[in-house]
Amino acid sequence: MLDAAFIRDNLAAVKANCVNRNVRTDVDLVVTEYGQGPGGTTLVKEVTSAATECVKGPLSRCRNGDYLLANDRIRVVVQSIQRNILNVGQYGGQIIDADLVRAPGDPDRDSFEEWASAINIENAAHYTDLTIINDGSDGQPAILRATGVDDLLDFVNPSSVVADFGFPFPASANDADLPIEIQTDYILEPGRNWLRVETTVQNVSAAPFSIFFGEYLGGSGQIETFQAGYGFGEPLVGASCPASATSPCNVIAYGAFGEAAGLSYGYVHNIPGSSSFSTAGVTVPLLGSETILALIGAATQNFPLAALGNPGDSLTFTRHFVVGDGSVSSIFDARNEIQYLGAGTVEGTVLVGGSPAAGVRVSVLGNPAQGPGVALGAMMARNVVTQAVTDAAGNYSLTVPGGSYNVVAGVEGTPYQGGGSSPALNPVSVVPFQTASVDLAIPATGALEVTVTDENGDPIAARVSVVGFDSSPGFANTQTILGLINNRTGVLRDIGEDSPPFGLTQVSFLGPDGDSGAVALEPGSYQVVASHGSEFSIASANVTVTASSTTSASLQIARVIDSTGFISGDFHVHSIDSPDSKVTRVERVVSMLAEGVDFFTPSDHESRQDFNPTIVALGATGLISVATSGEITTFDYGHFNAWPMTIDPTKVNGGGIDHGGAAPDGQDFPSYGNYGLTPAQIVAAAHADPGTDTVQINHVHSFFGMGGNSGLAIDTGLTPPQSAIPSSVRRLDPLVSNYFTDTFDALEIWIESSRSGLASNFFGRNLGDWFNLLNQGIVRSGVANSDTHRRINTQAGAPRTMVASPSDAPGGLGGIADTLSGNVNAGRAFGTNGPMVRFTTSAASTSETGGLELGLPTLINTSDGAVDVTLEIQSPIWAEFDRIDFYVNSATTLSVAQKESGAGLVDVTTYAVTPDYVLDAGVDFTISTTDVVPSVPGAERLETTATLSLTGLTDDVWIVAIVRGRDGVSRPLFPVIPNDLATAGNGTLANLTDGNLGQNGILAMAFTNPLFVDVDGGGWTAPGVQLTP
Amino acid sequence: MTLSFPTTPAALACAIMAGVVTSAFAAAAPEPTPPRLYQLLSGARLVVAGRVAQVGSFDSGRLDVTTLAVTRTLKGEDPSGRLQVIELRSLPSTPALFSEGAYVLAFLGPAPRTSYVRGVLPAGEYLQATEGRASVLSAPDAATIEGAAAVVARLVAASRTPEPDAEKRRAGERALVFDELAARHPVVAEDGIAGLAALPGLQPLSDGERTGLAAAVARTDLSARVRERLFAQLASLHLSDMVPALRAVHSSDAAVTAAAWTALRELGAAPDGDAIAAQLRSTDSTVRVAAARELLARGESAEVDRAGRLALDDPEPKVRLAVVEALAASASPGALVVLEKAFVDPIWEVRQGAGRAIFQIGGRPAAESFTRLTFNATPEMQRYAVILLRASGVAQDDPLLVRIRTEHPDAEVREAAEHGLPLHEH
Repeated sequence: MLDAAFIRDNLAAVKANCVNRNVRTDVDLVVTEYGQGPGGTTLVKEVTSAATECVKGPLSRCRNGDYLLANDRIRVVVQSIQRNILNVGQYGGQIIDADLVRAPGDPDRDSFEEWASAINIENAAHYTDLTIINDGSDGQPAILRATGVDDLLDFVNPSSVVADFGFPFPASANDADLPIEIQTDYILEPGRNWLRVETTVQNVSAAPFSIFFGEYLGGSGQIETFQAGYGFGEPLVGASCPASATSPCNVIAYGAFGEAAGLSYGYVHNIPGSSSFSTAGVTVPLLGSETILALIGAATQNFPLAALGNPGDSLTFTRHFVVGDGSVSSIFDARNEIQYLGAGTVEGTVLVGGSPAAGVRVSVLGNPAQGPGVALGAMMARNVVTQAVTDAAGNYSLTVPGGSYNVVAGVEGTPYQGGGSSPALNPVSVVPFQTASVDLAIPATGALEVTVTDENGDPIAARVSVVGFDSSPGFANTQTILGLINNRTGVLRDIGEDSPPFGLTQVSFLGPDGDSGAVALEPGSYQVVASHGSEFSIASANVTVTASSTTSASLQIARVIDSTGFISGDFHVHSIDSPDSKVTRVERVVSMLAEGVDFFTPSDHESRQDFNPTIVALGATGLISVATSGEITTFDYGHFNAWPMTIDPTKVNGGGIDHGGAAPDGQDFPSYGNYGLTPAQIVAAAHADPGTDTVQINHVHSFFGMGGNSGLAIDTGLTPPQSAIPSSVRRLDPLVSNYFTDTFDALEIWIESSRSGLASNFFGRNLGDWFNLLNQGIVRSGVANSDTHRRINTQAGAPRTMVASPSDAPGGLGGIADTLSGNVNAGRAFGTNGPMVRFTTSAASTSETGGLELGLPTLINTSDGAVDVTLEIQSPIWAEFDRIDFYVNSATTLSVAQKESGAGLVDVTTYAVTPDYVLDAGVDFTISTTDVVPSVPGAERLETTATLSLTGLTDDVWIVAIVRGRDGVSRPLFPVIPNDLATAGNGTLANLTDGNLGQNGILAMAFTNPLFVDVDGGGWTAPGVQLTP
Repeated sequence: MTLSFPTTPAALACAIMAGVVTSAFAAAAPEPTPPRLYQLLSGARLVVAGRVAQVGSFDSGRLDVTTLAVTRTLKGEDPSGRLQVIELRSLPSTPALFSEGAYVLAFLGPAPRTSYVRGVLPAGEYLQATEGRASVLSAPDAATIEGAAAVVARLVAASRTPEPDAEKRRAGERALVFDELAARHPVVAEDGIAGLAALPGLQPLSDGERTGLAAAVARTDLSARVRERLFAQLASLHLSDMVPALRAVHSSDAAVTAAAWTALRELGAAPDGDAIAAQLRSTDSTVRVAAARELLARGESAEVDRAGRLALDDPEPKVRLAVVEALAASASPGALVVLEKAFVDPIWEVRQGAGRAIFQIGGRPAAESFTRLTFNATPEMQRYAVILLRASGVAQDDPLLVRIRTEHPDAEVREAAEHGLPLHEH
C-alpha cells in the first residue's frame, strides 16, 4: 500500500525529468547499412520512406517516423512516440507490425495490432523516448530502447469489471500512478525469428512496493489465439500450469488463417505460475500470478520493488516476440529453442481419402496433469501443447519437449480420423533430439457447391445456410475454475469465434457472382437455404452429400417487398480494425451484400476506415454504399457511433476521437485532474465533423444502465435525466454533476438477434428509457443495428434500420450520406428483422396525413381529438407476424436495483413498458398472402393494413408501433436468422425443417419511430414523464 | 540496482511468495541481495579506486561520461591517471552512478562500442560499470574507500596467490570476513554478513570475533536493511553468543527492532511478551505493527488475542491491514474470529485483506467462516464472501454451498453460489 503523498511528491520529479528529456538530438537516428555478423544481418532504423520500408498488410499501422527492426528472417515495427487511441496501443514505443521477410512478389500480411505492457493491471508503459542503442551495423544485435513512465491505459478499466462482480478493486491497483520509470529494449539478433523484449521497471522512490506485471496483447487480424494448454480461443480467465510441466505454459500464439495465412505470432515468457485474462480480442497474460485470485483480491501484487538504491529496486522482465510461418508450432519451436527445452521432432504425413492433404491441423496433446488449472483443482480435459498444419504434400513437422503425447488431426468439413464425433488419439513418445513419425489417415469427405440467382436469373449475392448436424463437431477443451469461471476452447480450431448456431452446420456468403464454389462438407443429408435479407424470398433444397464428390444446388430467390422510399442500413458494424473482430473488409462487404443491406457505416472501435476501395475491388459499386463511421468506445460508460465522418489520413486511427482525454506524459490519471471525456464532450467532438452527422448512443442499456460493467446509472424517469454513478469509478470529472446529455441524435435501442437481448434489453429497459425521454420532450430517433463483429452467429443487417431516402439505388447512397443522416435524425426510420412497415397518421378533421416517409410530416394536427393510425405491413413469408402493439404517450413502470459501483452501492433504475393498444391477426386485422413472382417458387409475401382509431384525445401525443410474431403463433425466422432455436425437439433434420413453431428462435419484429399529433393547436408538447403508480 | 527475474523454480517460488506481501508494513520476506565482492571482482576487467574528477553530460542528458582520477588499480592494467566511464542515463529519475568529488571503488569493463556511443561521443576508450549501481562503491571521504579497497586487494591477492595451506587459507578467509564486518563502507560490511554463512566451522567464536560481531550488531551507521540482514544471519547461524548484543539493540526504526526481536526468538531468547505487548500502544504505528507481528509469530492464543485487537481497534487502517495480514501468516484458529470481525471494517482494503487472510488460512474452518460471513456480513460483503468461498475450492454439492443456494435471501448471492462470477463480454 503506497502512501499517496509520498508518491505524489516523488512523481512530480519523475514527470519533470520526462518532459525535459523530450529535447532530442538526431545522433541516435543515424542509419547505417544492415549489420553483418556470422549469424546474418540485422538492423534498426527510423522509417523515412514508408512506402518501401514499412511492413505492409491488413493491419499495417507503420508510418514515417516509426522504427523498423529487421534481420534476414523477420521485420518488426515499433511505433514512434505518440498518443493514439486504437486498441491497446494508446502510446507509441510498442510493437505494432511484423512479418517474415518475404520474397519479391510475395506481399506482406501484417495482422498484428499491438503489444502494450500492463503494469499493475490498469497502467501501461507510456514511452516518451526512443533511442537506437545499436543499429546492428557492427554485426551485433540491433537494439532499440524505449523509455518512459507509467500512465493510465484508457482502453480498459478492470476495476469496473471487478465492481460488476459485486465488490471494489484494490485501491493500490486502481488508477494509481506509480513512482516508476520504465525501459524496454527491443533486441534483434541476426538469424533469429524472434525479438527479445527486455522491460525494466525501476522504483524511483524511497519506499518499497509491489506490482503486478503483464501485457495487453491485441491480436486482432485473421489470427486465432492459441494459449498453451488451452488450445484455440479465448479462455476468459486462464489458469497457470505446474512449474514442472514438460511443455511449459508460457506461450500465447496467434495462428493465421485467410488473408494472414503464412504468418503467425507468438509471445513467449519464462515465468511459471502465470495465467491470463482474455476479452474482446485482447489477451492479458499476468506474469507469475493466478488471474482469478488477483481479480477477486485473494492474491495481491507479486513483484516486489525495493526502495531506490537497494538490491531489487528494479525488475527486468525478458520476453520474446516470435514471428512464425503461419503455424502455431513454428512459435513453439522457437520457444523450445529460446529456452533450451531439449525438444524432439514429431513428423508425418496426413492422408485424406487416401491422398496427401494440405491444410490439415495436427494438434499434440500432453498430460492434462501438466496443463492449466491443476493447482486450482481445475484440470482441463485436454492439455493442448502445440499444433502444426500440413503443407502441400500433406507433411507436417513440429517439436515438443521429450515426453509422451497424443496426436490428433482434423480439417474443417471433413470427418475425423476414425469417423467418430471426436478425432482418434495417436500416442507418440518423443525423445529429445530424435524424430518420431506419426502418419494419419482421415476419411474422404464431400463437397457442396451452391449457385443463387434472382428473379431475372441473374447471379445475386446471398447467404447460404446448410441446415443439419455436423458429424465432426468442434473438438472442445473445457475447464471450470473454482466454480467461478467456465472456459471452453478448441483443440483443433477456434470453436467459439464464429461457429454456426445450433441447427446449422455451415454458412457461406456468396458474392455478386452468386457462386459458393465447392466447399468441403461431411457426407450426409442437409437442407440448403439461400437468403438475401428481409426484402427477398428464400429458396431451399434438400441435398445429400457423398464422399469424394461435389453436390450441386441451384437456388432462385426474388424481391418480394416493395421498400420504395426506404433503404436498408446497418450503422453499427465491426471488421478487422476492431480488436474483437476477425472479419476482413472483403468479408464484411460480401456479408452485407449477401444479407441485402444497401448502406452501412463501418464503425470499428476508435478507427475510421474507408471501405470504398474494397467495394470497388469487388465490383459492387452499384450494389452497396458506405459512409465512414467509428465507434467511440469508452470502456465503461457507453459507446457512441458517429457517421458520416471524415478520415484524417495523418492519424493512425483515421482521426478517431480520443475519448480518454490526452494529458501530459505520465499524468493521465484522475489524481492529476485529468479525466475521460464526458458523453457531452464526446458527442460535441463528433458533431464537430463537417456536414450533417448522426451521433447515436450504441446499445443504450450500457449507457443508461449499469450492467455488464458499463453504464452511468441514468434515471430517465427524472426530468431531466440524472446519472447516479460516482465519477471516480468511471474516471470522469467529479465537477460534472450529471453525465447525461441530450445532445446525441439517435438511440440504438435494438441490436443483435438474441431472445435474451430482446427480452431483457429492448423490451425490458430500452423502450422504457426511450419513452421516458419522449415523454419529457427529448425526441431522439430509435435505430436498430446488428453490432456484428462476425458473420455467422451475429449476422449483418439483423436487425437493420430502414431509412427514408430520396434514392432507392444502393450504389449511390454514399453520396447522399448527409441526407440519410438527416433523415435518421428526423426520425424517418424504422427498425426491423423482416417486416416492412409504412406508418402513417391521418386526421379527418384537418385532412392532414403524416408519416415516416419523405414528403409527409411526422407531426399532424387534429381539431377534434381524433386520429387514425395506420400500418401497412409487407413481410416475406418466412417472417411471420401476428400482433401489432401501439404505444401512445406511454407510461413506464419503475423498478430499482442496487448495484455495486466500485465506490459503493448505487440505485439502478429500469423502466418497463406495456402497450396501450394491441391488435391481433385474425381478430383486428387480416393477413393475406401475395404471390409476387409466380415464376419463382416461394416468392410470396404476407400483407396487411391495420388501423388504430384514436378518439377523444385531449393532449398532444406521440405514437410508436411494434409489429411482431409471437411464440407458438408465428414461426421463428430460422434458418435465415438462426439464433436461439430450442435444441429440445430438434434432434433430426426433419425436426429442424418442420417450421419450428413454438420452439423458440428469433421471431419477426419491427418498431417504428414516433409520429406526433398536435391536439391542442399549440404545437406538439411533450406530456411529461408518465409513471404507472 | 536491477534484479533480473529469477529463472529457477526455487528462486521463483521465493519471489512469488515474497510478492504476496505488499504493504509498506510488509513482513520480512526474502530480500534480494547484492552480488558478493568476489563476484564483482571476477566479472570486472579493471578495478580501481579514485576520485570522480568530472561528470560530463551528452545528448540531452541521455549519456554521462565520468572522468575518474585513479589513485589505485586493484585489478587490470593501470590506466595511469585518468579513465572515462560512460553511463547510459536512460531513466532520468534514477540517480547517476557518479557524482563529482566523490571517492569511489569501481568494478569496470569495456563499454560496448554501439552505434549510439560512436555517434554521440568522440573517439576514445570508454569503460562502464559491470553491474550497474552494485559495482560502484561511493563515499564522500577517501578513508572509507581506501578501507574498501584494502579488502578488495586482499581478495585479489588471495585469488592470485592462493595460500597452499588449507588451514591458513581458511583462517585468512575468516579474518577477512570479520574485517569486512568492521569496514566503514556498508557494501563491504554487507559482504561480510554474507561471508559469515560461507565460513566452515564458524563456532566457537574467538573473543575477538565475538567482540567484532557484537560491534557490528551495534552499528547504527548501517542501513536498516543491512542490519536486518545481519540479525537474520546471526539467527540462522545459531550464534547465541549474540543474544546480549541483540538485546541491546534499541532503534528508532521499527524494522530494526522487529528484526532483533525475531532473531532473539529464533535464538530461543524471545523478549518478554508483556514488554512487547506494551509496544502495541506505541504512538509510532510502525512499532505497533512490529509488536503485533512479533506476538502473532509466537502462535500462542493469548498473544493472538492481544495482537489481534489491533486489527479491529487501531485508528490507522494501514495498521489494521498489516495486522490482518500477519494474522493470516499466523494461521491460528483464533485468527479466524478476529478476521471475521475485520471483514466488516469500514475501510474496503482492510475488509478485503481480511477476506484474503481467511482465504490464505484455508481449510474447512475458513470455508465455514466464509459461510457465516455470507449470511452475517453487510450485503456488499456477503457477495464477496460467497465468491471467496467458491474460490476456496468447496465442491458444488458441499453442504455449505447448498445452504447458501437454498436459504440465502439475496438472489445475487444465490446466483454466485450457483454459477460463480457474473462475467460479461465487453
